[in-house]
Amino acid sequence: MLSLVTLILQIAVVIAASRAVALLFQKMQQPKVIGEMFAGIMLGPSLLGWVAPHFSTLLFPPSSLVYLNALSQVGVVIYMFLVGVALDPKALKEHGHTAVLTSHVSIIAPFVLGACLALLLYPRLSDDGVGFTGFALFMGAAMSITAFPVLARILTDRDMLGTKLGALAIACAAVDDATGWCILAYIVVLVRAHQAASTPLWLTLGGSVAFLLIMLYGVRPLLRGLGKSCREQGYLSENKLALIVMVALASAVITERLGIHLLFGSFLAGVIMPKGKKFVRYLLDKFEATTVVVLLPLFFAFTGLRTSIRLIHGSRMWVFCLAIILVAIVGKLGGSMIAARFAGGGWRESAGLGILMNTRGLMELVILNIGLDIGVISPALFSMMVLMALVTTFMTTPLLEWVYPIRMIREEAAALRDVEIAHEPALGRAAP
Amino acid sequence: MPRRKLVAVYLGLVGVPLLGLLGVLRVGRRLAAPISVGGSWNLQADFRTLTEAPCRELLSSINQPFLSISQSGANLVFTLNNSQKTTVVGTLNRTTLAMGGAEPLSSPSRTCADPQAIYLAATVSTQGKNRVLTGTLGISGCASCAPVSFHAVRQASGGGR
Repeated sequence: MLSLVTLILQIAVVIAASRAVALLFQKMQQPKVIGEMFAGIMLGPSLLGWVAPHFSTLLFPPSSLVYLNALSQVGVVIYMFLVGVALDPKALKEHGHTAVLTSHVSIIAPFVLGACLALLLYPRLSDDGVGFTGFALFMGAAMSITAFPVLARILTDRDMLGTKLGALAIACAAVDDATGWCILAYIVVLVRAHQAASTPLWLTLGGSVAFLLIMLYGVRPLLRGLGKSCREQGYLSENKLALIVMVALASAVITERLGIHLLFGSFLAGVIMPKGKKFVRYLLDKFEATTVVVLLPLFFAFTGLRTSIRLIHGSRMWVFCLAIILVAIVGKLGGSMIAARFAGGGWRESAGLGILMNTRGLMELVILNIGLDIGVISPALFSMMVLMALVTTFMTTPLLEWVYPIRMIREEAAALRDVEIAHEPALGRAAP
Repeated sequence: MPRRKLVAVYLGLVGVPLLGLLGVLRVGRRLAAPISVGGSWNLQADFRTLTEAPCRELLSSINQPFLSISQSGANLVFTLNNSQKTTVVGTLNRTTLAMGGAEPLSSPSRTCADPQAIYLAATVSTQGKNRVLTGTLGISGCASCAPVSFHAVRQASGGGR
């Protein structure tokens, strides 16, 4: 009973802190999600545990964290499902070769730089429990991620959806996300294959391929009726909503049992859902508010409780941390910018795309938590990477305003008023 | 952009870095990371040999798994499995790990009640599939407490850290 009271108190404190800091960040012209991320870090050992250790232990006793973790994981499972729902593979086709080139370079450039950085960090911040290949690939994947939902939010806030740059950024981020998750699935399999008591590799690989095929060619056609029903009636019955939730949860359980991770399953379930605008909007409206307002702040708080800036002690550790931030920015921002320039974009437009693609946000935190859970990164490295995620997400809006001011966007939007908006990103209204 | 130019740019910006990645992975295989000691450890020791009762009780009150180690390279954070979940920092030097300082505290009577005063020095080895710690455990500043020998085995876990 004590645990339940503690849990309810924790939820209340987390939501209050999250809203307060989010409002503060909103006043600083930043997306609310960045404030929520900061609030999570503030509730952990980096601030609350340092300033008021007794209160921190009272509010977040170690024995209670298992409940907080479970709730936050449920939130991320639903959130990843919504990210999958919002992801439209057609977005890439609409922007042709430019999007393919830019998105691929925006993945490979930070990936390679992240792997190079692993040469420096592996002997210093890892251990022989994880092989170099798994470590380097994870560093690459973590460096190359773009937060598709945060990007959508920033573009919506700045009224950039109708611009060529906004549409291209959304398309590239969608490809980056899908590719990043595929790479991460491979890394999880690779790392878990070396651990005792893990699912046999043949079962993981064979099962994953079979499951993917079943979802794409077996389950997806069956779900088309849901999209049609929503389009005709304007809503989905409770039974149909329950069916959708069960598909997402079953998919999450199966991928976890296959030895990948439950988030891949929920993401995949979202990807195979019908992509009609009405259906996507209806699902997001139904699930977004609870997930974004209640469950995701719990995830940020849980991440914050695992992040200890004090683990980064001494000048050497801070140099590593700065190197991580620098490599992340140069790889993602620089790589995307150069690719966009080669694809024919102007310098300003290319720089704008690079800045947008450098947004990591929540997706980075999700990936980092997976890395810490499977033991591929150490707690100190986790804390450094969380700082990198915060810095790269925080810098997006001011840098974008500098390179691509709102005045210029309005002029461009006015010129393109008659052009149909090709892709309306979901998760753009309320989601982080 | 003409298709031929696009292919050339694609090969230059994607293909070449991919080859570089393969090279990095090849070079990196030669790197050695510190030995893994992260995880939970079950400890066997006879604390009855401690002459001071408070010190004996302090160590005896810690449950199994006696400690868990959070590892970031050579930097370690030890968490004792007592009611306060006391954390103490430590370091790893090749196969030797050390927890806590051995500097004497001013008041011996306070020392025995303070879990932060627990120190440990041990050597890591591998026995079969298990990783094992062998060393001594003591209380800083307790003049009459001789360090206690211990043997600890790491619990099997998924993550290792």
